[in-house]
Amino acid sequence: MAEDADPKASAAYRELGAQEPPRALDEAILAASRRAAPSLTGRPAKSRLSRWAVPLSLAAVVVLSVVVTLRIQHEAPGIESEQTLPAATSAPARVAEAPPPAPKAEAPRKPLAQPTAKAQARQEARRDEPKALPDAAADRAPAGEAAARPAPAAGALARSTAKLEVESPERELERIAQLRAEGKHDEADKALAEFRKRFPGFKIPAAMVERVERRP
Amino acid sequence: MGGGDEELMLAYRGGDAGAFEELYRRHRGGLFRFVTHSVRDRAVAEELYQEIWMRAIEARNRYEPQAKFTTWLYTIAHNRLVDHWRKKGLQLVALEAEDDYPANPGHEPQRILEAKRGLERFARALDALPAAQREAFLLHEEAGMSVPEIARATGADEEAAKSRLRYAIAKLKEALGDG
Repeated sequence: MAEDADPKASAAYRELGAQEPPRALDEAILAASRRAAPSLTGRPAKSRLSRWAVPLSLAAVVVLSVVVTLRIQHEAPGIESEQTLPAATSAPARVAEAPPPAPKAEAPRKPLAQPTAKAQARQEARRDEPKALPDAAADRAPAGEAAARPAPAAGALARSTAKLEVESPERELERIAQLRAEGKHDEADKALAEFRKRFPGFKIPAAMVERVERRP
Repeated sequence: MGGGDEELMLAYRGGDAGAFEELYRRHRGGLFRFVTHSVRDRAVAEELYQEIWMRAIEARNRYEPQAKFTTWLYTIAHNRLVDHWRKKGLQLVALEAEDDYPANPGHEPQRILEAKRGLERFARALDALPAAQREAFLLHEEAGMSVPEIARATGADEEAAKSRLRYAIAKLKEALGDG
């Protein structure tokens, strides 16, 4: 720039006078600049909000899902063992975890051949429960579970529980005992053999052995 | 308020209205004279001057401090003046022409040279300069720009910018009787 500078030309130019914009023009421009500034001030906050909106929403969904799942599991304690069910080795563990109603089922079913008033009453009470028979369980479970649980998601939950109970060894044994009591020995034998194949490590209680095994 | 022009512009971009006021205070006179010496009609000059600042305000979010703020501001001014001249029917090539500026029909160099010495003659000489040369001179005087900066602000190459400035200064010195 130094080689282009010319002091005389610059000095003469300065002497032309320092023209200034009118005050009104200044104020109009500054007012416009101020009008634009607030929107700029607001923008970072908005962008911060929008930047966190998606992660926060996802976190809220995850928390809500966990809470709902825990609540459902709390209300239906059998559901948490569903994942371990397919493994045959875990069957004994499930016996320990099985809900109390399953062992009780043996008592009322035993006198089926000679029905008593007490047994009949229990059967009435069980009418809405999922049955050991797969077809019936799949269809009836929702209705039975729906009575005991809050309406939302009850259907899906009930179907899961029904599936669980259909596959539980106690239920299966109960079904075999039922067949035996009804005199369907061939079917009972076949079911018992199938049962031992499915639950090789499961120790059948002595009382149940009497009910499921063919007697001479 | 202290800080360089670039910092002030960034602060304004971030929402600080006071930063713009300081920038405006620093550059209002120079930009106004740049425009009024480029466009002789005072009313038109004021209108263009306001539009240039409005464009700067509107373009605040695109401002990046890669170049000096003055280069950025005067680039906006240059573009606005080019638009103005285009609307007047003047081709850009005419801006380069030595003595072919339509808004300056009665200011032949010979007549200027014959005028009495002094500021009036200098003013006429400035007025008589081809637009591109006058612009280079005004950017040099009012924005303190070097040749590369003039080239950047006007979209010309450095050789052209240097040539324009040199011719402008030579003619003005001639008008002062110092040529």
